[in-house]
Amino acid sequence: MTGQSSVMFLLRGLILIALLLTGVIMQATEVSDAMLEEFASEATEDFTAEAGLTTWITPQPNGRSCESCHGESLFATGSHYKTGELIEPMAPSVNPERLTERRKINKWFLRNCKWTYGRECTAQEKGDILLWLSQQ
Amino acid sequence: MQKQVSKTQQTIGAAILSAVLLFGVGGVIVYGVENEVAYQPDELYVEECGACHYAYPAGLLPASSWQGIMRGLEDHFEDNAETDEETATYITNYLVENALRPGQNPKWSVLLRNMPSDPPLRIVELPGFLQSHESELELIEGLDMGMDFFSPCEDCHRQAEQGLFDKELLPGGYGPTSR
Repeated sequence: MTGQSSVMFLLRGLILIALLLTGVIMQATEVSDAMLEEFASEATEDFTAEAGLTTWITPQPNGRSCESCHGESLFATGSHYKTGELIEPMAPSVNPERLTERRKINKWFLRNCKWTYGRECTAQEKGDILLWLSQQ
Repeated sequence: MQKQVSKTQQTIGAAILSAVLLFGVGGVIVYGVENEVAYQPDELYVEECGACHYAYPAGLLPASSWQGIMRGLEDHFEDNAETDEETATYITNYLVENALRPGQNPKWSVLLRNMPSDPPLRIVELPGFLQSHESELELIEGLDMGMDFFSPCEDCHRQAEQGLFDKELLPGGYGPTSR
């Protein structure tokens, strides 16, 4: 192999890897994007990251908030308020597995909204939170 | 330089070699046997339940208790642990099939002692559990921790994830790990 062709070979490899990586990242946003669209059809206002943040951090009259278990930083590990079981960071930028599975997103919205607010979250709340989370 | 190996040396050498081989082969056999009965919990069960707490082995609670727990996931010891119906049915079946019952796992049969006809929902409330943790119950008396002290099995039984609760494996001292 000549010097030039091996450089080309390496370049092609790098481009391929970059494409594959983009594909993985694209998938992550595809799931949350699709869900955002669905929530939007049931919501009254446009989703905003600010509203998502507010919903996430505001303690309820029972003292509970998302931070009770997820901690104060989305980029750090949280822990279950009662059992101490560790909870991986929520931010997709440090934990690429987040927001990639529809089933999980729905499951945890159901469980955690009921625990925190004593009711299911509205499409508006879920959309705001999901938008904010997906940007982290 | 050549040296004649004496008969005694030969015997010693042979003895050492046999011992090594014996231990090696023995180890492999024992390892194999242990692996055969190794505890392997269901993956979905661990994913769903183990996200919030130690995924208690199915064989630590009788079937009726598991059914009771799975019927009340909306208020799961003051937590919400709801899951979709398909998942719930799958997990219920897994737990019931592998539940605590005579002959299921001889190591855990101690939990069957004095089982009431209407078993409690919590492992820590089984008479067999209380009996086998009598000295620990005495230890925590006055600690104001209540029975929650016992909930994370893995704090003392460090190999609980592998389904190992043998007394011999207990570390010195008791209490929550450094989390």
